[in-house]
Amino acid sequence: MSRTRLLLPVAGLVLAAALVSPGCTRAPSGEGPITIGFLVKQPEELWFQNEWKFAQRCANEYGFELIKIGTPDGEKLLNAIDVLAASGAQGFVVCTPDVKLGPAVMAKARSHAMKVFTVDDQFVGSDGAFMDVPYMGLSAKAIGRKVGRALYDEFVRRGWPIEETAACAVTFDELNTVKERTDGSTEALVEAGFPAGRIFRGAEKTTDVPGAFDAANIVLTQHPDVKRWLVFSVNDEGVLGAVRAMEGRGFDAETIIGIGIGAGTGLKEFDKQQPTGYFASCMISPLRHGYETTEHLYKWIKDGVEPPGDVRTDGVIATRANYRQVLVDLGLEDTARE
Amino acid sequence: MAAPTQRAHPLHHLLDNAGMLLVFIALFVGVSVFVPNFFTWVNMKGLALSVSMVGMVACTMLFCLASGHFDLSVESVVAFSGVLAAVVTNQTGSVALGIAAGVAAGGVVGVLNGVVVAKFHINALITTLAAMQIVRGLGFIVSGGSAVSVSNTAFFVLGNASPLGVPAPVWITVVCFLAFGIVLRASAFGRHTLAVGGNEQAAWLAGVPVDRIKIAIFTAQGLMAGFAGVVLASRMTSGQPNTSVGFALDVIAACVLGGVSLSGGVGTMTGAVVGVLIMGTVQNAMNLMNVPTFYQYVARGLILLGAVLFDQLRQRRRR
Repeated sequence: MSRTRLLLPVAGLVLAAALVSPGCTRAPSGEGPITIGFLVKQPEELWFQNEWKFAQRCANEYGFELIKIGTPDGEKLLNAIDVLAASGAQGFVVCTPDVKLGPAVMAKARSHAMKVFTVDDQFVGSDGAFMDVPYMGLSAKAIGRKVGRALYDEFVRRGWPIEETAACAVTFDELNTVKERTDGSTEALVEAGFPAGRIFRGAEKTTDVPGAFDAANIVLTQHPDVKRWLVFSVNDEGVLGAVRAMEGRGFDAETIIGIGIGAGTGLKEFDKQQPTGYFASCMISPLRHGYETTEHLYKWIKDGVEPPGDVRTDGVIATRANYRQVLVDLGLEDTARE
Repeated sequence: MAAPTQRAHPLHHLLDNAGMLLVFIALFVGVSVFVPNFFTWVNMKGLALSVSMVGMVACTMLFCLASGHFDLSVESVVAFSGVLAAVVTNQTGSVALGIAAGVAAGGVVGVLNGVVVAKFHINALITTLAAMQIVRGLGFIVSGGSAVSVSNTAFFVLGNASPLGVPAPVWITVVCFLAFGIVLRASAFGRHTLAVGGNEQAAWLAGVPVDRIKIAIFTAQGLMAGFAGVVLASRMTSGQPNTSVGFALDVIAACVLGGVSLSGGVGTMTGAVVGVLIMGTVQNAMNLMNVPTFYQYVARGLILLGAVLFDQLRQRRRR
């Protein structure tokens, strides 16, 4: 029995090889059609599903093949690169499950002569420095600055007296990427001319509506003299929580300008009959992260056009008046409503 | 190990004993014909590499299952050992010390699992579930919460060398399959393992040192998972504390697919190899065919369910 068992796999494989080898050994690369991989760390996240959707849109427009694989850890990522190589892919866009996989991923890609474009998370080398691989990611600072600038513009447009006005920043400084958002907003407000001393910070314990509600209530209690509020935070929830807290104390759309950050959570406010203090949202979208990264890589492979080394994206300010158009522009019209 | 039936017709005999193997061969030929790029040298290498981790740990998981237990902690041991090897290599500058530390750490976890299961008679599910969480935590603690890059390039040889054009982890896996296959078939330890899994009382009465066997099995499992973790860290050039979540179930599923009984007493190394290869081939083919990720989850589950049902049918026919 044991001999049969040991012999069988060998015999089977030889048989299989003999049967199929003439027909199916296609040369994987060369002058053939272009194939590009798109590997993401969390395929169950809407953000990455949208990246895939936009990458596929690019593939359809240019007419190349796109292979999408979810790679939640380092082993699966390395295996996926082998699969891409076998499929004849000449390169891939990757959002790595860990930035320190950079050297291993690049070594593997080089061994298959594949080009790499990183998205969302930037590779870190063994020396701790960012690696010199094309990258596109969100700029938390730029997003924050955009919010700050928009707040100031609206503050000026409404002609509010500065002595009655203050800004409430609902912050979460434990997480550096979101801290950069509120820091950016603060920076832009001050640069535009808003007095730094009139920006009051409330630290939230959790980055959700209740967390922001509590944080804002403390700020409101500390500053009962303020008649009009600008509100910004790390996300849509932070601003929504603060706006709800202010509404509880008699403020409304006339006396609050709140601008959030997000991919659609705040938009429900715009569907309400009456405007609320939630004035706008800085919408972030994976459109460029999915479409443009793939497009850059395609042109790099096809025509040898070197992609830009480091692209930072920011958001688009969506207000009650224009948000439907913004959603369409960002390709989010069917996904932003949860 | 399934005893061959004397009376059976040769063809029945073959079907009974090589069922999953035939399935695998049919599968392999099928995807070779129908999936473009599958049967190419590049892909065969990639496929072999992708099953190497599951393959290594399946060798010892087979013993664990055959003795009627299982070990969920392997996935955390893989992560922890990889991280520890990276940290020790960085601090001492010695790759050998790093590898030794990683493997030894796995061994320690294995011994503790074995002692708790054998001496304190705690269910292996609970024991190794607890160990899984403890060791995952240790991995994060030792790494300081994020991946540890290794700067000494000698560390990368284990996972990235390619003797005779075949990646080192594949060679290691093949050696493990052969070595543990021989141990299972031809050594007292292997026979005792199956005896304990088949009927622990009877084995004990027959003089099998049941507790020692169990501790040895878990220790071997820990050492192997530790070693696999070091190989993985070498491949990734860094120790990743969050790697391989769900890996233990992949290994167990592969073994079960290869006809290893979850209730113990039955299991062959050929079966485990076939199980590992079927899982790997299906995954590889689905990726080559660009099957959407969510459908892949469904397909993998259905295949596992189909395999155990098929196995059940086979066993019933044999009786």
